[in-house]
Amino acid sequence: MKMKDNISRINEFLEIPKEVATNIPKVTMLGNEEIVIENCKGVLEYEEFFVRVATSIGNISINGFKLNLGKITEDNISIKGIIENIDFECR
Amino acid sequence: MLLKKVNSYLLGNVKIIVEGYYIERFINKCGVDGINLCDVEREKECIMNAQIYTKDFKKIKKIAKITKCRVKIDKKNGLPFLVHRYRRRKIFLILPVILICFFIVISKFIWNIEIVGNKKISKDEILKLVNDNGIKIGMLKSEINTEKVINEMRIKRDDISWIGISIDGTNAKIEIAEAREKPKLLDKNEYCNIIADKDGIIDKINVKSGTAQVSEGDVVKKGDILVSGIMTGKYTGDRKVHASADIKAKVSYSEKKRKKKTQNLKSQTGSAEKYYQISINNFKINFNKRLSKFENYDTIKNSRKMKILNNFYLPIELTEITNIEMKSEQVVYNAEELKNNTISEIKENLNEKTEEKDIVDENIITEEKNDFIEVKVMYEVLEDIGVEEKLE
Repeated sequence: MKMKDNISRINEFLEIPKEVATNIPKVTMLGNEEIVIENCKGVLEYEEFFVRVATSIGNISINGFKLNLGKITEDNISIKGIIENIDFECR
Repeated sequence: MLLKKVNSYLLGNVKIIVEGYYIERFINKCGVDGINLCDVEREKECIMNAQIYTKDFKKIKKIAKITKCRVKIDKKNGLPFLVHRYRRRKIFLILPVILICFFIVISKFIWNIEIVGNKKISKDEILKLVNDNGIKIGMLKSEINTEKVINEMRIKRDDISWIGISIDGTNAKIEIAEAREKPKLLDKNEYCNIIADKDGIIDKINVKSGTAQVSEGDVVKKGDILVSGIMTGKYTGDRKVHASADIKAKVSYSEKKRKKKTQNLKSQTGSAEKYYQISINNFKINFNKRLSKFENYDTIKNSRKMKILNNFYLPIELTEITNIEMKSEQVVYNAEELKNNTISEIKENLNEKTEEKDIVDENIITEEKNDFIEVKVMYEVLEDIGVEEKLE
């Protein structure tokens, strides 16, 4: 635990962005049309009206209509459609 | 974004339909294996549309087996598929290549010779000279040694003072500056006679140095010595000098013309016909092989070289042949009218010859016969007829 604290302190000192230093997801939204989740671990569920994405801090579930996954890479997901709400299921 | 689209077009992409119960697992597996899924769309409970690069398709088949999904191809986009579709139609590919090669080869030759700057020397003459000295139509550009051609031309012709050859595209532009005739002036220290260069009557003679051989009122012929360069003195004996004198002589110019009272006049009827002809170097193609329907006609040929842009001439020539119908009429002239016309015609000619020198006298003789008239116009002009001739 102490080791991790030290690393985070160094990172803070060097002003390294947190999403790079740790694996906390970065969630970016453009209105209610698009949402980009970086540092995710995978798609748990995917329906037209519901998407659940696994991340290191817990699952993020998104409700909406006509949801499409725009681009999927290893740790990057962009979801397009009409987004109604986002839930964080914290551990 | 644009770059990605271009990239996906060049590499080729496939639209697939995935069918199965574990579609989420399928997506996650793709992410882990480094396969980029695009435009993922859930159609129904167990059907999904997605887009992937062509190269990833084999990997996807493996993943589909593991996750128990079925993968179908919906659509193929991109360049690799386009090439594959047209692989049998080789002419599609070969024709542009041949065309490009053709143009490259053609641009290595000279297809037009342009001559600029000549006033007195005719174009054909220069063209012949150029041809003889190594620039011909249909020649390789690399074979031309412009410096050598210029030198050889300069040696052969004295009346050309400067030649410039520039080769742009398939066009060889030959610029010429004509030399003026050099005046025949003798050095003051050299001894000379003055001789007549025209027949005439001496009107005035004023000797500065030398011995006068003629006096005022004498009739001289061409080549006669007017002022001799040898001076004879009582004590000095024969002595050579540079003769100089102001000599004015009356020179007569005359011209005679005979004109018939009834003449055949040619005139256009106003109807014409046009033919076209294409000639590739010396090979000619006529578009119309019929003979002309006119009995009497004049032919005008107007040819034009085909060219691309400014200087890229092609070895193709388009010739327009126009036949203009002519008719001949017999016209009977009034004697007085004909006389006046002829006189003014002759006068124009003579004025050109005498070049605005002092005209002293003018004499017109007309003679009228049965069917023709004869007109003679004589000018008497005062001019300098002396020319220096070197004394041996």
